Amino acid sequence: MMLTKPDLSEAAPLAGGTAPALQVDGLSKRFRSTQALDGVSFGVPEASMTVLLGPAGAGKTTTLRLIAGLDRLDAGVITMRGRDMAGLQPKDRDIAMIFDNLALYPNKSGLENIAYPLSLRGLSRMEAKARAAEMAKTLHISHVLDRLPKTMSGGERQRVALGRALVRDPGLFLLDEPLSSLDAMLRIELRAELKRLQREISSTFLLATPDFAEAMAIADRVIMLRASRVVQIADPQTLYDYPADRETARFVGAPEINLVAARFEPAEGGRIHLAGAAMPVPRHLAAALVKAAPEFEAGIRPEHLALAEPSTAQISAKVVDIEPLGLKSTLTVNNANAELRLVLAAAAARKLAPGDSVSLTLDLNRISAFDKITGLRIA
Amino acid sequence: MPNRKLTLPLALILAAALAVTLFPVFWIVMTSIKPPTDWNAAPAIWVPAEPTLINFRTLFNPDAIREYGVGGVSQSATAAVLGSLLAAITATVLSVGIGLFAAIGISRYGSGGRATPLIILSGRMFPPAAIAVPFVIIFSRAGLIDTYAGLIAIYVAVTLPFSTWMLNSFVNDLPREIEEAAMMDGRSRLMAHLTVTIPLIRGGLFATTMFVFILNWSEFLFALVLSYSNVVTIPVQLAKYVTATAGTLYGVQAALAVLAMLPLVIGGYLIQSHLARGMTFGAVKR
Amino acid sequence: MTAPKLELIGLRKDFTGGAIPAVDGVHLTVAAGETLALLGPSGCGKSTTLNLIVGMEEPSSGDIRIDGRSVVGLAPAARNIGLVFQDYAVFTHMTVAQNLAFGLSVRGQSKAEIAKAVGEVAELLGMGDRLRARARDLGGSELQRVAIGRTLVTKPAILLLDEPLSNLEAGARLTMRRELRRLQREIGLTIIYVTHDQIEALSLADRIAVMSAGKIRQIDKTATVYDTPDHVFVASFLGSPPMNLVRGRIERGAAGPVFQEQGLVLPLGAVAAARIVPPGEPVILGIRPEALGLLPTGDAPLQAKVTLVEPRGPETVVTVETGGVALKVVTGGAERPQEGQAVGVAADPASFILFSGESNRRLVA
Repeated sequence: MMLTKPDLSEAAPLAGGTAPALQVDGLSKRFRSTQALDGVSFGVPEASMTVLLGPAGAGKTTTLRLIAGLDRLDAGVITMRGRDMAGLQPKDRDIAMIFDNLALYPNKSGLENIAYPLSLRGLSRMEAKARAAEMAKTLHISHVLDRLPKTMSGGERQRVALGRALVRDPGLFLLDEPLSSLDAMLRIELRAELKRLQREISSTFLLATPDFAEAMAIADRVIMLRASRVVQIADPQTLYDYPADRETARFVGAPEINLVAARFEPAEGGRIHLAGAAMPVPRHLAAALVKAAPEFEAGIRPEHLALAEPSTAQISAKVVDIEPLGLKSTLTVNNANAELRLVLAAAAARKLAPGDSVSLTLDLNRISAFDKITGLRIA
Repeated sequence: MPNRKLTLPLALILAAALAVTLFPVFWIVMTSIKPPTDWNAAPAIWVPAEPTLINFRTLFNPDAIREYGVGGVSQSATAAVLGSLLAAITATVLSVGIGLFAAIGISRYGSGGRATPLIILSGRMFPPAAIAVPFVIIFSRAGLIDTYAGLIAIYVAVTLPFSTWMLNSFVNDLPREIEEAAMMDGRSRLMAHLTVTIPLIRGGLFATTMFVFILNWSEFLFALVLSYSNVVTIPVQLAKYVTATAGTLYGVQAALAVLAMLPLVIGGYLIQSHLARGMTFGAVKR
Repeated sequence: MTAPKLELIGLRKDFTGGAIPAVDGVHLTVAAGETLALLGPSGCGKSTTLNLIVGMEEPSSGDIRIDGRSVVGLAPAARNIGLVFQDYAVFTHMTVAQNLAFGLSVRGQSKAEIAKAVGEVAELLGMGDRLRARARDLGGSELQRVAIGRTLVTKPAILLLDEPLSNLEAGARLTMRRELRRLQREIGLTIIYVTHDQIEALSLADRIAVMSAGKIRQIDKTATVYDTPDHVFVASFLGSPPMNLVRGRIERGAAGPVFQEQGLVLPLGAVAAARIVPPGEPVILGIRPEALGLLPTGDAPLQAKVTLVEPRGPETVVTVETGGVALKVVTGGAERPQEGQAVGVAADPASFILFSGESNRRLVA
């Protein structure tokens, strides 16, 4: 099955337009009976924060390990700034990597952990330590330099791992879920810092994460990976607004996108039926729907539904569930044809209870259409 | 359970367990300082009234025991102690050294496929007595009988499965990313293993060394059947303290046993601080 | 009046070697049928508090009462508390039915009683048709349901859930939260969630107790804790992104008190608490990112420069710098400035919250 839309991949470089820092072509890797990667191709623009986004098992870690040279690839070509990486040992690739489990040296202090790559590269002990201490200062971890990793907090270990990678000034940084298993708050704080650092040193980052919110927040460009293949390459907002297929639409965004069975009727200038209501065909869908099968799946983001007066509303439904989330609440409603989630102000949600009847309007210009069978985006 | 207090019943159970474990040791140490008259007195003498070092002197001067009217010991234990040290230390170093690299290969590079550890261990699935006789035949043809080289070879063959298996589990416990981090930081593969992997499984390495050394040190069957006169080890020597006139020389046996225990006790004491697991705590996120 | 379901009175736990108590004088009352979330970052003492309630640890001082009766010193099994672990602890070699029956069969109940109770709980959890399935074949959210069901079947007085959703994927989490809210409504059980995830706390609890450094910083209705945090820590822990917290001082301006920090000057005429603060006093100003808006530079009260833009789909988080102070602003998804661009910022003083710069507590007029 062909999932990649050619017009979204390398043909149209997104940032800069110069040659990419890293180019990966037709990467394949098999572990015993499982195909971990199946013809993965993408480019990482110079000085960009590029994010490999995908669910667990999509092949993110495998991709990073192949680029690092830690595992052998079955097929494909990896080039960094024009240099073929084939046959090069990890140490000779000019790449730094942050592992998902951090992999600090447990028997070395914070300072020694950070200074290690420098001393391996022939810097004098004094200079290596001075530069490591400098790096620690930027990362606000000067207080852990004398301590062993086991006495550090999760956030401090994270920063030490970051320091060990950053201190080297390599041509490419690989980060494998660097913020996983940290508390939610710390994660948000550190990801902003990560982006700030990347900007400051204007280095090239390739970061793998299963968290779409993290990808949205920091990425210049997102490579959506699923089931060992690249599904879409786009900037974060494009990925959110124009997901290449149904699964990507569901993966990106919380609360999850509404996927509703819909039918297109060409009569009388064209109408679409969804959630028990009939509506005019929005312009961005018209051309595509005429060509496609009449039955399709409509993707409606929860923020594009709103409560309305019954007179102006398109859809009527009953409240099933209310989820307060601070300033906003998620409302789940249903009728005989569909179940829908929408986001509204917490104050408005407090007036409602499960079982109440509500009326909704839908921002038709923002809906996506997916093929019912293949799940691919029609328009 | 953290902070669990030592309650009385718990203390009693622990005391009982300790008594059962330590009683043989106590008995041997006591017997080693008993004069011949006390060796098998009935009722038993727990602590000798007149402790003596005669048994220890007899080990290295077989005639010393004659002052108690007991005779017939012909051979000094010096050769056995030196022989045991030579065979056990050499075999342990070889076994652990080879096992270490085998373990890293199996754990990190899947050398030999998934079944390798099991195949290696299968060498130990035969009872030693069953393979002793074939080995005697092979060794006599090969001219290895009654040589230290032969004894060391068989010790390595017998303990290598254990050292490989044990070390493999320690290497498996160590997240491979730590040595891979060193590769990214600038080490070659080999140097990453030498400078990162091996130091970090130090505890396991000591434990395995200790275990393999105990096996080699106390081995009796092969040492007995594969040697005549040149090669002698402590366990074989122990069996020789039986005389026609005085029966078994329990005190002298006990003295040699106490001597044989010493390296193990000292070794165990020296490495106990390294035996604790959790060396890598804090290195990776759990 | 009946006694509250659970009371923690001056609860304290010291660990040998710990510099500060893990739990430091916690007072807490949970009414019957109420859902409370114990929220805080890792290391704040919430897990120790949970262990104390369940009986895995004994308090250094203080009391724990269930239905008015002290349970300190009682074995965990005698406290009638159901605990659902973070990692489920479901027996994967058993079927769903065997798992659900486990707690009852070890208590020696008859087969008929067990079958009836298991049937009821399975029905409640919507797993009536999955009773014969092997637990190892279940997905994450089904496993979580079995874990909860196994506890419910024993009819505990209190249900404690330790980070119940943290092992689930995002999508399953959403479904499970909805499921948990339905369960709460239907069984009316007293439930305590222990979590570091504010979403879990906000969406599931009637009341939230926010903990840090072994102390409860605020305990109140969920909306109150979110809207009017009593402590700087609470303000910094809730919201996504959390409240902007700016250290500065109060000065007297021409038209009433103003907040001042470096080049940032904000009139606080509309903030009642500002009037009671003497000039020069250090304060911390709290502004929700949603209460700030971006404007064209011309007609804005504050001039700023964009330093970071983080799109989130429906909205965008923009970090701006104004007068040397960094502020986060949440805007709609469509209006997205460029980094480095000059913008104007509008603030609604009615939503400002003032904290004391010394005690970190909210200032009330």
